[in-house]
Amino acid sequence: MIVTAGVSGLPRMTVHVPAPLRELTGGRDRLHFEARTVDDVLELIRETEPLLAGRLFADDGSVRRYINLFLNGADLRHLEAADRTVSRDSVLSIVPSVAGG
Amino acid sequence: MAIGAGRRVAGLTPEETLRYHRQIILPQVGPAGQERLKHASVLIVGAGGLGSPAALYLAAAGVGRLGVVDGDVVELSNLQRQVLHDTPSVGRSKTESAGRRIARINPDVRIEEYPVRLDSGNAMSILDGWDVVVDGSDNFPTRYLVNDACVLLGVPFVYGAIFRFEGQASVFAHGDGPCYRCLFRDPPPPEMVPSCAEAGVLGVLPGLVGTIQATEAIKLVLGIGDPLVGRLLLVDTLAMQFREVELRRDPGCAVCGDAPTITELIDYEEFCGGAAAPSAAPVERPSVPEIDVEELRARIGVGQPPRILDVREPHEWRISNLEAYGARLVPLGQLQDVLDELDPAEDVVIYCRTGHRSAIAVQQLASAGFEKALNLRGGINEWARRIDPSLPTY
Ligand SMILES: [Zn+2]
Repeated sequence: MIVTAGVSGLPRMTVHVPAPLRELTGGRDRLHFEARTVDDVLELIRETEPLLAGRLFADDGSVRRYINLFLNGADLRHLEAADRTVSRDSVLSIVPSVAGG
Repeated sequence: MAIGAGRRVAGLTPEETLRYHRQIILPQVGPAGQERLKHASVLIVGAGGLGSPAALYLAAAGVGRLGVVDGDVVELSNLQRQVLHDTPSVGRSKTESAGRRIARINPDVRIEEYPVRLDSGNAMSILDGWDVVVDGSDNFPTRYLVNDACVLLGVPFVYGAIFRFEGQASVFAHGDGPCYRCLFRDPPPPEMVPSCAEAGVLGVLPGLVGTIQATEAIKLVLGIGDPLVGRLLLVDTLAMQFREVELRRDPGCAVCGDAPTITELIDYEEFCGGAAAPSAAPVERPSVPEIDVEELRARIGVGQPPRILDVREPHEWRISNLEAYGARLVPLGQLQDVLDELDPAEDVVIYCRTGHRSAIAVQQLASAGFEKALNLRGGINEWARRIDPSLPTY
């Protein structure tokens, strides 16, 4: 069965949580949200995943500069309003800086 | 069967023609490409998990001049992933070990060993003059240093980084493409940075990412294919997925932007908030209350000692622990499950190996209403160094 929308009727998109941040999501590597735009997704993260939100966002609400968010591979900082809509296939990738070598 | 032994191809000897036959017959390489490799130079920063496979493949492919920078010696715990080194090399310098191994794989390669830690004082002279740099370093100060030096020198570098089961790769400082600072303007606060020693790493992962770096270095030398310029490759070995995201040069970038503010190398330890000058760190630190090991020892001796939680894993507890002072093992992943058993009004001190995981634990407790939780600065390793030398550090 393919779930295209949840009870809200909005598309159910996916957030990829990278390994370094999974301690903040209880080990979950995928989060799903029903939302219309990526900005709604960020708001839902703030509401439902406070630990993760604390790591992603600075006090002024901006994304911290050692973490990048990409919607379907495109940097959120460069996305025009029209491209901020999410669909069922949308993936928000959280890309933190890691130094291991 | 294109090229027979003994037939001299361009500037290659018969033996070279034989050795590199399988890639010379690739139309994208050919004898001219092989000669380019022969006259090319690649510097590898870090002869560790990433630098190991990169060095092995670049040497085998016939890159004429290979440099290796690493100030460390080979340790037994390196061998699980640093395949350039072997058991008899334990205790030797990594560059010496790398040099011997590369010479056995391909005696035609000229090897330059730099048995030093790259720093602002030596980076420009060491990095200058190479065709490509491969960054296989294992810490943020060196990563920003390699980036800035490569941008200033105009040397492209192949970036790779790993954590547990996941890796990243890209090509920075190439043409009009972005640099590492365009992607990560600020380093993370030191408390947020678990190392491979702290977090663990799957040994095969640097093998994957390091060979991707070697591939990109060879493509850059040959000028073939689509290099990872303006793209960040994300490797997830558990899901076994390769994804990529698009990167752009940031016109406001401090080093490669339109009005750069970094025009010479800076103090990278300070920039990354290291021990050199923690108060000068230009990054936000999590406001996690701390206690240092001396204070904790003093408080254990008098009155009501604090409750002590160890948020490491059981195998680490077996290496060292503070059980003698009533410490209880609660791995970080299980912390939420035991909150009911703890008293929010009680003083709690939390420790891990070096203080990263325990900082997360203190944050988690704070958001659950525990206002008196403290992070043991430096973790049990610091305790072992300053209070109880009978405990091993790891
Ligand atoms: Zn840049």
